[in-house]
Amino acid sequence: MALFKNLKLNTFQIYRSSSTLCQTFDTSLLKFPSGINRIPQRQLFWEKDRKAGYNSKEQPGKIQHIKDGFKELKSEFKLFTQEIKEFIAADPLLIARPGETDLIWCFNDPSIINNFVTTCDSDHNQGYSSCGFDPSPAGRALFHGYLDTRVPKDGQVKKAGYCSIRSKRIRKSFKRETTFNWNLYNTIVLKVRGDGRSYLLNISCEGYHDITWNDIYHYVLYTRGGPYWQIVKIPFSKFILGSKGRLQDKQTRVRLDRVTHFGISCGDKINGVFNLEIEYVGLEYDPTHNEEFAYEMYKTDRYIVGV
Amino acid sequence: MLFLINSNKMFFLFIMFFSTLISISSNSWLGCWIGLEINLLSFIPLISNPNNLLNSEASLKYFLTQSIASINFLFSILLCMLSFKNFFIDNLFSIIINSSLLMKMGSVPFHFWFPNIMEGLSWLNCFILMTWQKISPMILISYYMNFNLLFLVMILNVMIGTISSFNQSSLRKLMAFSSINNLGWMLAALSISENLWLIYLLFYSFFILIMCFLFYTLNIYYINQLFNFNLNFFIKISILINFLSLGGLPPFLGFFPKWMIINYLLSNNLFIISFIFTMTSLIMLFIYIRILYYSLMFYSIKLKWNKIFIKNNYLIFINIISFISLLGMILSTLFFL
Repeated sequence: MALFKNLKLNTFQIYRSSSTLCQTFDTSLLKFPSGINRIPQRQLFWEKDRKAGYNSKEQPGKIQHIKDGFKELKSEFKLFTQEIKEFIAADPLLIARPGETDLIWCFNDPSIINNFVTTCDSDHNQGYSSCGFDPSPAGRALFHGYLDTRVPKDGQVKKAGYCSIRSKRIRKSFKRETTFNWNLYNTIVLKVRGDGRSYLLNISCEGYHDITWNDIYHYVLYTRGGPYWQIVKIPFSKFILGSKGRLQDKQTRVRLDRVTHFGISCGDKINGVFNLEIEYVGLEYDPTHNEEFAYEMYKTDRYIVGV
Repeated sequence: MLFLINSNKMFFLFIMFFSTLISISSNSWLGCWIGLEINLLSFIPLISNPNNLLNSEASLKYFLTQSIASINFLFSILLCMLSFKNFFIDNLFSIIINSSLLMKMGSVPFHFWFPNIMEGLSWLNCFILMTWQKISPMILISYYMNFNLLFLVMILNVMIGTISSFNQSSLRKLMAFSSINNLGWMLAALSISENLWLIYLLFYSFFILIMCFLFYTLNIYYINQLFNFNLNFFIKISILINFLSLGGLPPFLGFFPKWMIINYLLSNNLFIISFIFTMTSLIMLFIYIRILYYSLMFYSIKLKWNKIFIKNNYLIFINIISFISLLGMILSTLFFL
């Protein structure tokens, strides 16, 4: 696909053994080394836990957890009273005026960087890349690091080299998880200053059922290298659905009322330093953009496309 | 698209109609349960659409909640039969039977599934869920009513229907909360007489039909989409009339069923309930007026460089229905008063 000229994805040639849906490692697969997916996680439909085994290493003890919870009670009550006041004021944003960008995250204020989490393959010993998301010298946020495609020699990992930032799940008072509601808008706007590399924008729409927990909509962010800022506007109709990195056969539009995370990742197989400076991420409504969905889904024969 | 064109959907639609009739006209409680189950099983193929993630999620959630309600109903019927020789009203089990039927309908203590699922359905399915699926649980409630529980449920229905629709921007959720609000009114009608409930249901189905039909032809799912159209004059007026009619504003037809219910409530000396009903319908009307005024008057965009032409083949039908909504009160005085 033209979108992914810098990325190679395994989209075919899965050897169907009798244990495709189980997490086993079939040694007879060694007969066909060329096109086999040997990472067990990708063969599962059922998810045991949301993090799929990649849990964070430092977990506080239970008593410490309870004590930390008590400390946060006061701020949670304040949030709750604020929510009730907003609810009674009953003034929802009913329209998005064309030409105006509503910012979700504006990185002029360095504290907003705390809403994001960085991940790279070296966190779980699957590679050697490193990354960081810090305030830049120009007063914005800088996503920087070193991308390394060397594969660690442990026999399990076949490919390496990715770094990403992702926003934390937004929560209401008392840590209740909630979602973004972007129904008013139809384009996403970013003001970035890149280094010429291509990054991948990921909009994650975790649903209710575990099959949809890994649904992420992707699109490529092409950057120019120069010292000038660029404003990138991508309509939501262009985003393409993938689950665990695999583009799905049956494509649907981004579920704008159930957006849970937004992230940017760098995985373009070029060894070296990467820098992406971001000023803001915002949303806009473009009335001239009438496209509902960019990828045509015509009826195919049964059991060929996506079940 | 319309169901009658697709033969699979037509099959399930007919089974759904028959299931309600089975449920209503059965001699024993088991027959009622059978009707409810067939209703559930025949409605699921109508709403599930494997091409759309939101639709399939909504249909799965519908199946789970409704089957739990059916199981509760069957269990409580059997308990009742084992414990008592006669099915007399006002025993403790009538609360469970009523609760399971209230869950089937989407009434207040068990309403949390209703807006979520409505959010995922197309407008035609929304219409069926809001009108036809209420018939058999309502009639079964009338067979075994627990007045104490229902008075509380009525009041809660009406209050929660209005309060929850304050900050909504999705039209389907707004219709869902309006449906919960009207469920309160319908339960009040049911506790007085079944004929009154039937009249209210017919009027309500008429209003919901025209609203769903309007939104279906314009393909509108959110309030902000009302602003972005260059709607022609007749469609704007139709939306205005029908929304206000749904809210119960007097010269329109929507006031008439509410007026009748308040009349009968007062003649039965149920003053507090009628007071709460009137006050909350006022708040509901405020919410509708806010939407209408903002969409049709304040933020109505008519761009010269972006003209959208809406060719509506059903304009005559919409105009006739709006005419009935406008002048229906006068016509119905010929029948009722």
